[in-house]
Amino acid sequence: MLISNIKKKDFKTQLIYFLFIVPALIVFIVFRAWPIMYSFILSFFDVNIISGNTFLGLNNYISLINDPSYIKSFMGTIRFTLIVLPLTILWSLLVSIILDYKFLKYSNVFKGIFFMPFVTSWIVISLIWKWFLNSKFGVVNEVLSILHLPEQDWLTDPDVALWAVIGITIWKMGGYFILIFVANLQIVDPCLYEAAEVDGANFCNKFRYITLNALKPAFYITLITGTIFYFRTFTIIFAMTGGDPLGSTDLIAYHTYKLAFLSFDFGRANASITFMFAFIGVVLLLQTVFFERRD
Amino acid sequence: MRISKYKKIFSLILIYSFLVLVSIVIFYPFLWMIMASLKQSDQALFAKSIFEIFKFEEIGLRNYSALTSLSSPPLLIMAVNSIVTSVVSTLVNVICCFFAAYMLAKHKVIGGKFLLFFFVSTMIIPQQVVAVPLYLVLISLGLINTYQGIILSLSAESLTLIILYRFFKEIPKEIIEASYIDGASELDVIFKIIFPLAWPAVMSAILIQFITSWNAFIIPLISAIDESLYTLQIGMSYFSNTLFVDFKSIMTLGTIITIPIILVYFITQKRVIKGITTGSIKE
Repeated sequence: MLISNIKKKDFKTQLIYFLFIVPALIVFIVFRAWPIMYSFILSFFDVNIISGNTFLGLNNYISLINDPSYIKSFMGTIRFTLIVLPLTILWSLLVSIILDYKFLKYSNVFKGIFFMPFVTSWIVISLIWKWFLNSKFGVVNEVLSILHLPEQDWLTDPDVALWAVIGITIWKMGGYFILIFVANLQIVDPCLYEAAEVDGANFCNKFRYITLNALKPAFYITLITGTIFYFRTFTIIFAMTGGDPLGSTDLIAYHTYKLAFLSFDFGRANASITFMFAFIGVVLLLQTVFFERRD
Repeated sequence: MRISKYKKIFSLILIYSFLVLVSIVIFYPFLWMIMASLKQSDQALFAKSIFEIFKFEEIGLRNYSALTSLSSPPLLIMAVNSIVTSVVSTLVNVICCFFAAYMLAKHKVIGGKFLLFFFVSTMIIPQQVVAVPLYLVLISLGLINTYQGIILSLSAESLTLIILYRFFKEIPKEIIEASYIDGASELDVIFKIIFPLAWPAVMSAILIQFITSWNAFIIPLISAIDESLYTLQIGMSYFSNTLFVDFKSIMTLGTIITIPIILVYFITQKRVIKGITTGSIKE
């Protein structure tokens, strides 16, 4: 079209195009890209908002690596993500396959309900569940005692607190994952299943060779977004556990927040952000490479 | 034939009971919160039965009126702040992303691929990760503790740009070319042709950005220092840390935060879901 003649349509057209992009560019640079770069720069300084910054070299990084509570928090976050992400994916895969059952009516109603926690704010959900998890009069222990299962001190026992966070996270985010899987299942060609049935494939074979294969885009997108979602877990820790008991739920986003706004150690907080950002970047890169190689 | 019919009915019963059970687990906390906000005494909150809360005893709106009379921070101000920050940041975000996405999808912009990559890659800088340096940047720009600071920080979400970009990619080139030949200017094309066509996608983008902004927590937490800038979310967190507010009031505020967004979601469910899924599937 006319646009393709870039040489003739010259500098002026490009300038007009660019003017339309500039507002978005400014917002995203100033409020996302620049803070991350600024944080990288400040991670080499002792940051003091009032009296100015002093250069420290790599000291912030070294002191973070030598801080056992920081390493524990970082590893704890990786562990948390490694547990909660596969569980959410398995759970939503199961539910979405059930929702995709061809004789099922009202599947939209169920989808609507399952997605509800996702559109509700974390702070509200965290505070409701904080009450529910109370060991004396919480609903969760109530249900457990009805089912004759052992009751737990959900928010005070270091061995179970993280599992409470995991459970609530799946409860909240499951709806999003289910939507992605359902949308993906709907574009699977039904002819594939019919052909497989003619060839005498049973349910397991059909699932393994057709469904799982066709769901590759959904797996990719849920892994990517799930990694970002879970690695940044903050509000539920802030509002429900405060990192307690004994630092068992002290996930990295919350730990970094505490470094900055409770210890006012902005230098180390910024070093921590460099670690987080680098970690997320590397994981996403590896996932992308893995998926592209298998195609 | 008969056996397979029984098998079908049996599996349907199993599936429905599973789905209903899950729905109850999903729905119960919301119902519980609403009922707790209507209770006049704490008794039902401490009840030993999970159904106690649903008894229509001691029900009334006193928690709501008690909440409106709190002076620090005042409910009305927090509600106005929530509405203003989420509406304005949605407008800023969708308007900026609309133009950028259109240009990148339909015109040969020099460096367009790189710009698109830049916008998409900001997705890996979520609010929770960027919060600490964002606080320092807001200080250096003098935007800390201002509406502009909160609103602009909330506006930098690229999911809307991706949704709109995907949509524009599917609009046939010929429509735009034809209107250029008819002598339409760039702005004519955008407002008279593209915008009406893209309205469903724009609507999805607006809804998703509104929900994100309304539910935002960490950005208002770091950038609102005065109580006069608190949003409802920050108020809820603030109440949960003070002793003079009881739990019923916290659940009342939770209900006030949640009901509008759930209503918006249920009315526009199709659009929201479409937006979320086109933002990801259909590569």
